[in-house]
Amino acid sequence: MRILDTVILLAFIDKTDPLYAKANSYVLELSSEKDIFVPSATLLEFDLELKAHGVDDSARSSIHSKFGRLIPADRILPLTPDVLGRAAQLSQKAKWRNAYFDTMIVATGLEHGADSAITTDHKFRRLGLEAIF
Amino acid sequence: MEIKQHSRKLTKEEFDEIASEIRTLVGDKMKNHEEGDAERLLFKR
Repeated sequence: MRILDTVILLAFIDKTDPLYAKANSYVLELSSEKDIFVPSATLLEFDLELKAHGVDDSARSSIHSKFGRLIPADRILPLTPDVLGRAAQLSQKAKWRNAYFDTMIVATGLEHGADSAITTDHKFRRLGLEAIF
Repeated sequence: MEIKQHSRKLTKEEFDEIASEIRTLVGDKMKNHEEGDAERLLFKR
């Protein structure tokens, strides 16, 4: 089982991103391959990225509505108290800057039995998930 | 409680169309994106 990191969604929306082609393939696979899941924390971080860059509320609403058609609802993993607790534990290992969402995404994967994360961020390995791309 | 389900598999053409619509909505706002932008917004004082 694999989980999707936010970097994939960010590359997916930008055709000039060097990761675009593979990111597009991974998002496409969400509706066909049964072993790829999207942590709720990935979606939350993605929304904050849009907000941070001035994408207005109306556009964000439309964007998420359209992602709802690309990502089957049963492929989205919830942010539960167990996930948040595990993320807090992982924070003791994640001493790099901006690790908050990394810990929540990895914790989601670990709590749901994932063995890898689709990401270019190799720091995920330090938290217990193989990083693949 | 009703949970929305979008389980029908999209055709490649449908996927490409929705993806294109998303990219149009985002426009060029994500240029110069840097890792950690979300957290800087979240934790800014």
